[in-house]
Amino acid sequence: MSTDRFSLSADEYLAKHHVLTYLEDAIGQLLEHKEDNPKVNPAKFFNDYFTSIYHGNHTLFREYAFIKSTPHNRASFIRVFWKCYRHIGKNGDLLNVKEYHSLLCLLCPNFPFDLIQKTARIILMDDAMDCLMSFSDFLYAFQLQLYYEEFLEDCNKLYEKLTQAPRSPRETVVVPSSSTSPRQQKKQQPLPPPVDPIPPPEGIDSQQFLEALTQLSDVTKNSHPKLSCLREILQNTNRVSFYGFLMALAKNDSVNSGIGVLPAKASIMDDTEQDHAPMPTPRSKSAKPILEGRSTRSNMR
Amino acid sequence: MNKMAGRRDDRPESNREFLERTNVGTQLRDALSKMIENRPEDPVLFLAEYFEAISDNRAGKVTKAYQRLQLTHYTRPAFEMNAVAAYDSLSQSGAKGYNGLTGTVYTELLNNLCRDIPTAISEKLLRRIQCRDYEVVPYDVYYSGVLACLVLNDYVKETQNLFSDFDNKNTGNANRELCEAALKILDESVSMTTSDPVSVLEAGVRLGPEKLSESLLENISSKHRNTSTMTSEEFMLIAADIFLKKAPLLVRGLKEESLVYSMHESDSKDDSDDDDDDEDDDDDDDDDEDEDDDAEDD
Repeated sequence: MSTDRFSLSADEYLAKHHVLTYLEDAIGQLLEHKEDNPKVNPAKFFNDYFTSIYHGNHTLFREYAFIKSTPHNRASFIRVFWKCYRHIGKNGDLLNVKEYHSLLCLLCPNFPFDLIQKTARIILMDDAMDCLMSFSDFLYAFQLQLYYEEFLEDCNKLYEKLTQAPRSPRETVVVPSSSTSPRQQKKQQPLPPPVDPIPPPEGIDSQQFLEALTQLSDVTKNSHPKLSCLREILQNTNRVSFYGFLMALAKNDSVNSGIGVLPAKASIMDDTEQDHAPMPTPRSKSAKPILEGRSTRSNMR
Repeated sequence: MNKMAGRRDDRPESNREFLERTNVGTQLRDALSKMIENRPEDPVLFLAEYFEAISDNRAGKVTKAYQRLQLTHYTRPAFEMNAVAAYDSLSQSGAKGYNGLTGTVYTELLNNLCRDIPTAISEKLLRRIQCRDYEVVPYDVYYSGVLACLVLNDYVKETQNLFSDFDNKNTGNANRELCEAALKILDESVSMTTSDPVSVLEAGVRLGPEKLSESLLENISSKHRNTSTMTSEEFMLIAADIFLKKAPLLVRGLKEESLVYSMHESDSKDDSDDDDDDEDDDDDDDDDEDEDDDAEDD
């Protein structure tokens, strides 16, 4: 689906990269900034602004609407969340929904609560307010929920439709961590211990679901995980529940690297990141970091 | 574009005015058109670098380059070295792909070089030698532009001196005939120059004090004493036009010959009293675009 950027029309090109969104926001920010700093040099301001976007530092303390507005913003925010709070994970603390929400509100004043709830639902398959979640679980589920929000909604609709479709004779209630029965196999999803397994909505046929998702991915304008990832997840089971599917997505490494901001689960506690390394985004494989580049260039002077 | 509601009243300048004044619209439009033309892989990076190029510490860089250019007079050999160094420093830019002196920076430098020149005059020169903001200015264009400004500086000073020689009492006005005569000679001499340095030399000779006083005498004595005057501004402007007519050629010629420099020398020996003893030209080998005069012609 990646068309050559030269064959796109100007509008398509600009829209694909959300250029106008950023330009509008840039001007808004400039005008706000000018209130306190009347001598601001606009070109310098824009330089700083776009540099911070490039480095993914631009979402901190911004309003939710801005964070939501582009995939890059969402990804940057997820990364910021991870960086700010990964030490929570280190201590093995478990927090509940409200607590995670408070943490998020420190980074984004108007972050909506319902998004956190949806995140929790992925992990817990329930919106029990008091259930505790580990940082790592929350982080990846949060990433999925925030980054692919629209896609998940579409999946949900598809799922609902398929559950209403004529049922296959083998359909039964699927329990997440139940042992496999000879008649059904389901991919085991290890859930965090504190959670009581609650019977999820009825599963649907994975193959059907995959087909539906394939069609969806062809027509949708929203960001979505690569088809290969979806296939990977759905191929191994006959039936799948919606939240089982989501949880699998959340934990899937290829999905994670497709978004490209969080390390693999094993390394989220690592401090090895340099703070100045730019966030690798799927869009700019050949991008070089401005800051690092500057120092090389100064060697060439 | 979002406007901040209710700001218009408090601020001396509304948001829209601010944006217009700082040319934000133009900058953005330029950025966008470049982007659409070039379709960079990463538009955000592109924009970051674009604005860096526009704003890259321009004021500081330009000031330093300007100071460097002032270190020695352009007639000295060291000048060219300084000019090269200044050019290099102005061409450096953190943003990849913008190595080279951009038109914007070049213009700012020229403005600095011309700041002591009356605007009416410097404007004329700048209009001729300026480059477009986003053009990359090659070294020789830069060099001749810089030189033109520096020479113009000297030239303007000389014409000012010349005028004040005519205008003993510092009234801001001088005898029109005198002025016109001097200007005419100047014009003729300058017109004679080609890029061949020898012609410049000849022109200089023509402006030598003897010739000058000759023609002035001619002009004056042939008419009744005329009391109409010319203001210094007018004088300067006409003189500047003469210079500008030949600016590119003059500059090239001046690179080899220290025309204006020797103008300094002889002029410093000149004074506006009636004695022309001081005007000994020990500059036989030099080219005198000598604007000294004899105010004794009365």
